[in-house]
Order: sequence, then structure tokens, then C-alpha cells
Amino acid sequence: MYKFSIEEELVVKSLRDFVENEVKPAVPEIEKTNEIPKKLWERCVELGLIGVSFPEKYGGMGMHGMMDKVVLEEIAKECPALALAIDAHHLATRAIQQLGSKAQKETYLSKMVYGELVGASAATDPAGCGVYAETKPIGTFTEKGILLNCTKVFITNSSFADIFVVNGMIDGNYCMVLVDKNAEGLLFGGNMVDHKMGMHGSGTGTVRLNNVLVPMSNLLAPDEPFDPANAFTFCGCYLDISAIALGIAESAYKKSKDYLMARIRNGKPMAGMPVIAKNLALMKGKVEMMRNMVVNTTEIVETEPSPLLIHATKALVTEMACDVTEMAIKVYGGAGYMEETGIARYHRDAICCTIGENPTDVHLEQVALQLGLPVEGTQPMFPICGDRYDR
Amino acid sequence: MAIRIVVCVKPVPANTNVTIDPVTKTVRREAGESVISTLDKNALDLASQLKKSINCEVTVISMAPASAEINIREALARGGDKAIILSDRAFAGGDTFATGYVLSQGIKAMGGCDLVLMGSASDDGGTGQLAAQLGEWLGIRHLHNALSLTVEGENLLVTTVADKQLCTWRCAVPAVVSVNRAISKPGPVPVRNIIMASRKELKVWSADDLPGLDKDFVGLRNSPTQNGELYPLETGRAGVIVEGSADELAESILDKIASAGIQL
Repeated sequence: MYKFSIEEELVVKSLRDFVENEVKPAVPEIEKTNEIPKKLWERCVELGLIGVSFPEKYGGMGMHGMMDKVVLEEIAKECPALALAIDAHHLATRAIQQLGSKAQKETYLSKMVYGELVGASAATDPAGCGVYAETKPIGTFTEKGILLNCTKVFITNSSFADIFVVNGMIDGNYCMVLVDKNAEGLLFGGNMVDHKMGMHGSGTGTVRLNNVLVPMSNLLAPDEPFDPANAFTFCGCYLDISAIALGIAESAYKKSKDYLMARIRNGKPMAGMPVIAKNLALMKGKVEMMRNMVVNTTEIVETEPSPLLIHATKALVTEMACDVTEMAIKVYGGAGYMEETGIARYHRDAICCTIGENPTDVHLEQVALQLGLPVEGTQPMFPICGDRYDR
Repeated sequence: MAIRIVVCVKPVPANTNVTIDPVTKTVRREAGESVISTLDKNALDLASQLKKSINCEVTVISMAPASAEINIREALARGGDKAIILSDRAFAGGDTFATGYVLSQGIKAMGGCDLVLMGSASDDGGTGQLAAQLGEWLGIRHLHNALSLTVEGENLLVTTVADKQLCTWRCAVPAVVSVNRAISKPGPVPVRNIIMASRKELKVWSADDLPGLDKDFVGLRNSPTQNGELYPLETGRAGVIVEGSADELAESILDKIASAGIQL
């Protein structure tokens, strides 16, 4: 099991201080306005939380990949939407880190790792699917550059992003193209921001590109056709959202326990009622299973690709977060169903985690493919790496 | 020449579930997580602020077990340039008199300093005596419960609060100043500072590393303060009903708080 160094323990401590004293008080306003205050993002930047695990040469903190997950988990305990915004930003940032040219890295990467520029990954088509080969065309190559015409939906950070990484097919190849927020013909924000059941504030919305012309130098991996099956750009975000789900579940459990320890029935805490105690024990057990899975997979993928574990972690951890948060509402009783107690929010946010970054069923299908099962009608997102536990 | 600032830091038990050793009647420190005593963070924050305006070097010093490294690394992340942990079984259980003596010997062994900062009281002991004890052991001026501190040339300008009275002092260095929580607002530490702190110098000195130390002044056995009986405090509500206009009620409540010895 991963053991924190003194340095990492201090980061966790500082993070908890930030979440308790600065993030938590901002949540009611975020829920009301559906906007994350700019100041809160700037505080994340000041504290160095955005690029904790990115290399120092790009302005990151160079810490172990585990610390990215810890940052998201801790922030998600109080404000999953802020954690989700960081996750979406990471997705765009990692694309440039892994596939960007020297010039693209010089222009964007340090500012994004630091958090000065906010990124968004625009990948989902209106008729979305989890298979890259079926992604719709986003534009064409012309003599003047890349002419983009497409609509992308459910784009997290769309309302406040500075740079969009637009994903899709161009001339039969899967491409990623950088589009600045000020590009002519790019439409986002305003009434294109979605009204969601949860994750309020993460700025999810539609992005339209109407004849947006960008130079060829905005194409990621320009020297060779980009094969998503050979890039693990998306791996990080699957574990990121798993860490967010873990934080949500952990907080829902903790709040339920505190609430039921303080609720007195016949002179005794309700947490001691056998039926409640059993459910709290079950919630905690699931949280710890989730933690083991997130930690174990994060540790393994630092050194070896393991698509099976990544897909399984994303699918199971996020579903478990739904179970735990639903149980939290139930053990709260009537109060759990009231908005004022703030516990129902966790369930709504947890459901988002089972759908965002590809739904559970897509991930389970990918697990099946990694296991070598003859699944029809789909193809692996990543190369088949097999089952390291099949002994 | 850089002003040499020393910040005294006390690691204390992390939560309110403090247990007392029934034999020694001192706080059990060996078990559980420890944190930097709250007001010592204010002192560190002040030192960090001073670094922005004057040329100074900040040394963190702490009489603590070597296991307190995490707290001292945090102190370094909060503005310290280097740190010394004074750690020896002989120091264990010392009261403020003995602790002040050990700290004074540590400061002398490092070559002295111009300004010593610390919180005005610790979270656990809460005696508020250490600044005075240390000042006396070092034979230098000491001021308590500072609300503000600036450096003006060779002097410190310090505003302190005591019994609702504010006093502003012009004080020559060297001096010991304990700080009030209002002097600064310590927040979360940036990750960059934490990483830098892990690369800073941290020394652990035992009694043998303090050349002038007289062992007859250290530890529980040589502490003039010996705890008497310990028993759980029975608390109840007085149930006093106060009547009058809103202003009268506010005045009356404030008087009651003040007469209970609580400073607001």
C-alpha cells in the first residue's frame, strides 16, 4: 500500500485546511449560481494544486501521480464540481503534454500546468459513443490551415476555458486541435451552459465551431497520424474521476456518521441502532474498497500500462460512490431528502461520475475486451495489455 | 547584515482528545498525530511577512521528540530557513522554566539571535509563561501578546494587548516577543513551499550538543512546577437570566465574560 512521505502528508494537511476554510464556505453560493468563483480557482493556482503531479520542467510540482488523485479526492469531499473542473483541465493539459510539439508546449503547457490558462477537452459528439473510430468529422485541412465545423456537447469547463482541445476525425484520421477561446466562429458559454442535476459550477455546456480557421501548427501530434489506441491521454482522467467519486463517498459517509452520532433517540446516538450501524459499516467498507482500488491502480499505472485496471476502477469506484451516497440519504431519513442538509447533493454528483469520462457500461465492455472476451460491436480504446492478476 | 530571527515552535496533540499520564501528570505526547500549536503558526507567519520587507534569516527551534520532524518541516514551509530540534530524553516533561532554559541554551549554541518569536500560549499547556521564561534565561527584553510588530532601524515597534489595554513599545533588539492570534492569518501552505522545505537544513541536537547546558535545570525532575491532583472538571450551566434593552444586555454579557477572565 502506498505510504505518504512527510512532504506528501504536509500537502494533504494544507489541502484539508484549504478545503475546510475556503472551499466549503463557497459551496452554497456555487450551488446557487452554478459558477465556481474565479477567486477559488486562483487560490488553487496560488497553492500549486493544479499541477501537483506534472513535471517541474513544465511548471508542475513534480510529485507522484498519487498526489493528483489526493488533491481531487480532498476537494471533492466538499466541492466535487471544483474537482471535476480540475480533472477536465488535466485532460486538456495532458493531451498537450503527451502529444504537443515543442512550440505548443512552450506556448501553452507551463501556463496550463500552473493553472493560469484553463483548458477544456471538447470530445463528445451530440450522438456520442465511446469508440474513437466512430467519432464524427470535426473539419478539413485547407491551404490556409484547419477549418473546423462541428458541435461538441457536455464539455466541462466550457464556460470559463481559455483553450479548447477539440477531438475528432479530419480526413479519416483522429485528430486533436487547439482552439483559443477568442477564435472567430467559436461559440460557448452563456445560454449554451447546461442546467445539470448535479456538479453545479463545473461549466458543462455545448461548444460550436462554425468555420473556425486555425493554423496547422494548432494540430497536436502533427508529424504522424494520431492513433488514440497508442496514447494513454485519457487514462489519467479515468483515475481522476475515480478519485473524485472516492472523495464524494468518503464525505457522504463521514457526514452521515457525524449526523447519526449527534442524533439522540431514547437517550442514545442513533448511530448505535443496529440497522443504522450496519449501514454505516457497509458504507465505510465500500469507501475503503474504493480507496484501495484507486490507490492500487494509480500506483501500478505509474510504472506499467494497465487498461484493465483503469477501466475496472473507473466503473466500480464510481458505481460504489452512487451506492454509498444513496445510503447516506437513506440513513439521514427525511432530512436526507431536504436540500438544506446538503447530503442529497453528493448523490447527484456521484451519478455524474458514473456517466462522465465514459459511462460504466462502456468501461465494463473495455474490461471484457482486455480479458480477451469476444465482445461484438466495439473495439479496445487501448492496446490489449492482458490481466496481470491472471495467474 | 541579516537580522537573525528565531521562531519557537511547539508540536501539540492534534485533537482535543488529550490524555494525561496519571503518574507524571503530564500530557501524553508519544501517541497520535501532532500539529504546530496554533499561535506558533501566527509567529511563523509574522516571520515570513518580515522576510518580505527586511533582510533576515529565520531559524525554527523546537524542544520536541525527533518524531516531530513533520511539524518542523511544516514550520520550514511556513517561512523558516533552517531548523533545530532539541531532542533528548533528559528534556522530557519539563515545565516552562525548564523548557525556557533548554531553548535558551539552543539559541546560545546557534550563536544567538536578534529576535525570538512564539505564540503567546500553547494549545495544550496554555500557560503563556514561556516567552517571559525564555527572555529571562537569555537575559533580554520580552514583550507579550503582540498585535503588531514592525522593524524600524535598530528597534522593534510592537503593539501588545493586556487587560484590554493596548501598549505600543519601541524596543531595542535582542528581544523575545510572543504574538496574539490577531497579528496574522496563517492559511494553507503552498505545495511549492512544502517541497522547498524538504530541502532545507534540519538539525537534531541532543543535550550533548549544547555546550553550556546544566542538566540540573532540565526535564520533569528539575521543574519547579509539579502538578497536584488531577480530576475531571464538573461543568454545569448557571442558568442566569439577564434582562434589559439590547444594549444593556450586550453590555451585561460582555461584563460577565470579562469577569470570567476571558479576553475577547
